[in-house]
Amino acid sequence: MQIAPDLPTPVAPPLDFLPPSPVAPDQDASAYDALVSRLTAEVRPSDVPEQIWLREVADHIWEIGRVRRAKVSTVEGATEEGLRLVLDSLGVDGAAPLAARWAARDADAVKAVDATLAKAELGMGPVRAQALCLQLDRIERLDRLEGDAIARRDQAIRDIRRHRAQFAAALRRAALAVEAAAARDGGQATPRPEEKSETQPCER
Amino acid sequence: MRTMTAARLRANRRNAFKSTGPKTPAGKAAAARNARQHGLSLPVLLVPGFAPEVEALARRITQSVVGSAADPRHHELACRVAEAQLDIVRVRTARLPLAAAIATDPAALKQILRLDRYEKRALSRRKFAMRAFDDVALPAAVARRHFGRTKPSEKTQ
Repeated sequence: MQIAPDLPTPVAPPLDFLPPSPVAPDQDASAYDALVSRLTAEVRPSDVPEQIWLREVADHIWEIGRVRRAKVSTVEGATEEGLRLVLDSLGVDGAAPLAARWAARDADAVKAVDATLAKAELGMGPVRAQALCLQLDRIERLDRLEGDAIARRDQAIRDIRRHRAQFAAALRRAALAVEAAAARDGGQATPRPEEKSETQPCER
Repeated sequence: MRTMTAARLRANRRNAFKSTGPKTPAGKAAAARNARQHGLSLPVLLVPGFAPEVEALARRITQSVVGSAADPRHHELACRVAEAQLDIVRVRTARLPLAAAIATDPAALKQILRLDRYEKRALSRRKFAMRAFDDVALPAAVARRHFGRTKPSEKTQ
């Protein structure tokens, strides 16, 4: 199949079978490494599929955290505009510069805003609500991203569980078949020393 | 329900003809490149150079699960898992720079959501490929690891 002639033909980069680390340049890579190490110690993946799923769980946990932080910063970024709208609705003169000074944490502006909101029997709730309304499209997109990441994390966990349960079921069938054959032959089944209980599939 | 008359049918066809894709050469050329901007809609095996990666990963999967009891059937099923997994890796590699910018760049967020469908498809393919692989490979793995056989007998299936 030909790629469009004016586009570079994709060439396989040196890929590993795991995706690249999801850590952004401004994030703490050691925190992600600690997360992967902790999950690995808990789950003890026994084969490549389990390594893939485990890494996926770690990546989605990381992604969920990033999206949640993005939601918070999105609302915080719109707080100044939200405050301006609330102050405007209260009829405050110079609402925009006051909101700008409040956002810069100017002490006088903070006092003035607190007094104005208190006088109107309002707290920061309406301000945050205004900020949320201003960024609703973006928050909805981030919500969708977060929901997808949660669903995929849970699916990877279910995949590991199914894989191990299926291994245990295969082991059970094999063990029963060996015992049945031994009973027919009138002898004893002699499993190899490394045989493990089906309740410990992760240690295979 | 409105009755379809011959006149209405003709009008529908005329209107449909007006809205069936680009007309100008530039528009047609642009539409011809749809879905080819990042190559993620191409299966990994059609991208030059990826076939050895698929082979290598399939061998690693088969070796790690079945070990010396592996046979061509296991490898074939593992190849399907490997293809889907490498598609996931490609999508995740493409979205990496965008994910770092979601807090600041609205365009990055939209782009990630667009890329998401490729990851969704690849995840779905990998799920079913892995189930098919496990159905065949895990009995063989049990037979080799715990009962010293290289092939599972009929009785253990």
